[in-house]
Amino acid sequence: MLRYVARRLVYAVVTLWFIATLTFVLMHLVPGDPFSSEKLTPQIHQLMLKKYHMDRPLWQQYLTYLGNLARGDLGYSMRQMNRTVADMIREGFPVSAHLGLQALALGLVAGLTLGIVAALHHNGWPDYVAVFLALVFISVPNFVVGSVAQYVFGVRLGWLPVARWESPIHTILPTLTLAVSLLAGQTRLMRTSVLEVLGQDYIRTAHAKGLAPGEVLWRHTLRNAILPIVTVMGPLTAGIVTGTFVVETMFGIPGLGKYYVQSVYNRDYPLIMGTTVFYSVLLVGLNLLVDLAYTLVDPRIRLGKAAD
Amino acid sequence: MAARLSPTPPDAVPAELFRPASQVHERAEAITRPPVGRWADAWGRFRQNRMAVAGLVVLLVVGFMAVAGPHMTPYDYRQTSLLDTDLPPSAEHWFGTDELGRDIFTRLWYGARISLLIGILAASIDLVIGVAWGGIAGYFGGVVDDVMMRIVDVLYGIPYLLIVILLVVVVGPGLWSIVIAMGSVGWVGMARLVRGQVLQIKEQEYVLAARALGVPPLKIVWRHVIPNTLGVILVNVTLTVPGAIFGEAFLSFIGLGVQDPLASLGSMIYSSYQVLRVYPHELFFPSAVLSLILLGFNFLGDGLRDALDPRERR
Amino acid sequence: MRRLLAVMGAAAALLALAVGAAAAESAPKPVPPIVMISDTGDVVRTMNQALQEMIRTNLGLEIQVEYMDFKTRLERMRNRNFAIAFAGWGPDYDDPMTFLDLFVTGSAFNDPGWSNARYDQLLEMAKNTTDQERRMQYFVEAEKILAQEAPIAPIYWRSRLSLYKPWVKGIIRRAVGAEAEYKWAYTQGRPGGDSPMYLNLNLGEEPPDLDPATSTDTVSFLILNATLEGLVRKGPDGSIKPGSGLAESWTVSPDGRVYTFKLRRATWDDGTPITAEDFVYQWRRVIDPRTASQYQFMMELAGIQNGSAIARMDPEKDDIDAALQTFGVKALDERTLQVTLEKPNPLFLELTTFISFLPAPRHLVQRYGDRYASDADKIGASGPFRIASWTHGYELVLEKNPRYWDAASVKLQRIHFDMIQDAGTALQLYEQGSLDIAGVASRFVDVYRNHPDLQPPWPDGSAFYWEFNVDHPVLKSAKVRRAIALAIDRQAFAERVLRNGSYPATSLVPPVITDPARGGSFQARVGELFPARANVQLARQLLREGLQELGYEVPAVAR
Repeated sequence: MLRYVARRLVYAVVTLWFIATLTFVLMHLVPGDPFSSEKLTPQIHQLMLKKYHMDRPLWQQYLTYLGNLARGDLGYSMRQMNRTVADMIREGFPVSAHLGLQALALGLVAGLTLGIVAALHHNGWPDYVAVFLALVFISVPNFVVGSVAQYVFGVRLGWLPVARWESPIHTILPTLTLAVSLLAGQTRLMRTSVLEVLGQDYIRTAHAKGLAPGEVLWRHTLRNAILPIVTVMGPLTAGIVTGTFVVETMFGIPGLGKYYVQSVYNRDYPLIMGTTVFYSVLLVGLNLLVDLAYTLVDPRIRLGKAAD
Repeated sequence: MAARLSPTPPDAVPAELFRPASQVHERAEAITRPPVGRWADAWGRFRQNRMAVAGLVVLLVVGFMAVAGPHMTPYDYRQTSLLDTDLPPSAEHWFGTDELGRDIFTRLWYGARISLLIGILAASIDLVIGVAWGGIAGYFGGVVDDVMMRIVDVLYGIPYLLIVILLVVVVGPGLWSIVIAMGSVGWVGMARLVRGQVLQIKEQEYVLAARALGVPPLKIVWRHVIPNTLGVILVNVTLTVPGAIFGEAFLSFIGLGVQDPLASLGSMIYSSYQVLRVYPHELFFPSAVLSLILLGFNFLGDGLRDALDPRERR
Repeated sequence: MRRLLAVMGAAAALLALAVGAAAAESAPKPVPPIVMISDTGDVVRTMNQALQEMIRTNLGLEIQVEYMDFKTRLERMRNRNFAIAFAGWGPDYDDPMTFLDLFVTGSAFNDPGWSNARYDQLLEMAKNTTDQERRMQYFVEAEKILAQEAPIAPIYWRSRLSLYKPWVKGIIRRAVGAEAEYKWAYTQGRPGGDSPMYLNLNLGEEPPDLDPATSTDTVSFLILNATLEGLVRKGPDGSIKPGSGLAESWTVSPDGRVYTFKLRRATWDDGTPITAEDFVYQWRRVIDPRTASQYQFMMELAGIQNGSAIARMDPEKDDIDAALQTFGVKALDERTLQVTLEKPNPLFLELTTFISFLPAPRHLVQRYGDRYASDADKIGASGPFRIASWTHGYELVLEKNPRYWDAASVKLQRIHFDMIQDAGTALQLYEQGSLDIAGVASRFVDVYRNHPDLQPPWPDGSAFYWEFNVDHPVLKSAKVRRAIALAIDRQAFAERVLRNGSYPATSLVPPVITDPARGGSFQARVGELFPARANVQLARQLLREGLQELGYEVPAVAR
């Protein structure tokens, strides 16, 4: 087990290096640079490139970047002058994570419950209702859901704040908007997975040998059915705690989500790299956790030995 | 495994000892039900699932309208009329007109066509690359799995949003760049999912049994692994198509979606949700069609899952 | 096999060339594709389609639009890789020069690549005279050449719509410089009382750079104008008067080259006195090539002695520190600033109101270096307001600066700025009552058309136009360019597509730019050079002539 984790950590470093390199190349393929702007003369442009050492050959910039990265230095943003990327992530991440985890918890609990209910009453009315409920919410894009929610609950009824991130009350609308977009996926995945397991021989066996239905459900069905959910949990969590552009933009939430879009538009190279690396570290870490969780949930999977 | 040893050499029994078997004998061993092929069997079960059939019908209707709809009116999807902007539905414009006086009915079905195209192309890329990649990695395990999944990890490690935006900005927004961007990162999800399933199935008793009996790996994959993962794969595909359609709507939100005069359901919804309060029809029709597509794919997916599940064979 | 194909391809191409050459005498060539490059965005794509349709209907020409993000478009424009580009320009100072200067030969912003000797001569003459009437006459003639040769086709002068709560008073909006002046703002009749007096506004985004030497964007300008005081502050009516800013009074030498400013006794918000040295320090920073200030050209435009020479220096080879000593800005004593110009400049005082000329607190810039203006505690104020708190990417709160020299005129105690990006959300916040002002973007106009709080359209000073690449095989003909410019129905476009009170642009320089000789608008002197309504007949005639001269097929509608 320890050897396995150690090896995965080595892989993780290689993976990160690869991601950093790929992003670096891609981002320099995009025309323009952080300074290009309507009123910039070529002369000042050259001076700015020189000032920020961007007149050097790309491979040199790349090596410098990797060197800094290895020392944990993500550099300064080139759009929000005078601010470090590390600061921007430090300030934005807790907010995004707060919103994300809240929405994830809600979406998961609701989605898994609906999924289980649907599967246990396969093709009965609870199934139809659950599936329909799950679908209704995601059948319109979340910017429409968010906007309508703002209007109805904020402007019309005056129950909740339209936007801003101040108190738990302010988190309600964005959390709901985000959670409903998770709900459907979780419901369907869980429903399918439970149905899959219910058809397995060991479930029939368990029933046949007279195990209490509750125990069959808990010990055999759910434990096996949760596997596909565990698979998607890593990326899902990483994706959602690092911020979602639409919800954060719509609700004026100072999270990380907007940087993924803005940094590209602004050609804010250090911010593009910083957010990517941060996301990747998180994701690689979570994926490792997921794979470890696999061995716990399903003892038949022996990860450590598979490769030997 | 070298040459298989036959218990008796073929020429051990003299030919004259053979005589034709009576037909009665053969019937005695016949199966009471006529043999039903795998697909015919699945179709049989699919037909009985009313929701699934409804989903299929809805998709067929939307698909038909996406092809024929734009030709049912005297208008062109890009034809503007600055004097007839934002009109409510009427006999002349069945679904009304939009902010440039374009006929919404015509644009709607044209947009559905573009959206479906995006969804189906993105899903195809997912399906082909993702299933092959995940299946091979999961089944063979070991070094193969390690190498293949490291590559997936790298691709998965880059924020989806960021890479899609980077790609679309590099290539320039348009139908193809959107499909390429979504496809090039989307398949890794499928690959991970399939691998997870295969890992699980590989350890099942029946696969173990098949392997012990010496069934060649490819046959195991074909006969046991794929049929058992099909459910999850199909459910994923039916999520991918509407997912890609929604992805395009998101790209519209950040200004990188399909650009006018082209239309997509996403871009139509994006450009009308702001005027919901005054021109609700402009949001309603594209949203309704988007919902229909979504519902259709979901019910179809569930039906397919049930129909193709080998354990449900009777 | 591949080689064989290549050979065959080459042969076919040669054959085609030969045939083409033979046919050129008799049959006209088909018009090559005309590709317009444009930003993406929800409004702009409908704008483009409307214009595309006008050209298609009126001229039978097909204009293809290629969408890209803003910076990609800039790159394509700088590389002149386009046929038509949809571009816009906002004024940096209140003079027609800020627009007309774009299209002189060799200008960094002359994307069309157009060149006209008389035009260049006119602008040069305008730069060399202080006689405002003559300057304006030169500018009018320049505008006429621009209209005739049509390297650009003006389309609209932008206006913006906003909702103001009825209790919001005294905000002055400006088309040049910072978009809004809050010094004299107040509230009257706010439910819940006007004391303490405050405003809730939306910035839309995080101010990217609050160092006046390097700042370039409108959001930062808004905050800088509210927190920093220059030599003069434009009055509510736009006038420039002694005593309106840090300069109590000034004298101008008889030759018009030397300005001597007497500074008032004033301090930064931390109590440090503001001295002439602060101005010298800041202006040197802007002209210094090592700062790489985008608005260095404004300092050059002011014509301060040796400015242009210093601006052209190479940081690696030249001794810039020594050169800066010769820069025509001197502190004669703590409160006397002397500026020497290379030649008399009627624009000089107007320019000093621009952001780049505002002094930053020398002691803080020196203390924090690159981190200056990165946080609320690393920035100084000399203006009506100071930054009370700043949560990056979320909110910025200004409070009244108690050490401001004219604090008595400032009524607002606090301005709370949100950084809500989404225009729809800002409007809903307005309706819920937590914002006092909200902009109404084009697409929302119909929703709020009858809202009682809707303000009259405010022309923001920017002009939007098509730029034609004069090296394009068809657009190299002035007749074709003019034909396209005439085929656009500007009025219908402004009224039916934009719907926000924007004006049809009948020439380049928008009406907000004043005519210093006669007073009023410079545009009034110019008149309608590009028709507000499409002149289809003339457009078709010009297109026909232009295409025939070049040997291209004339589209059916124009035959």
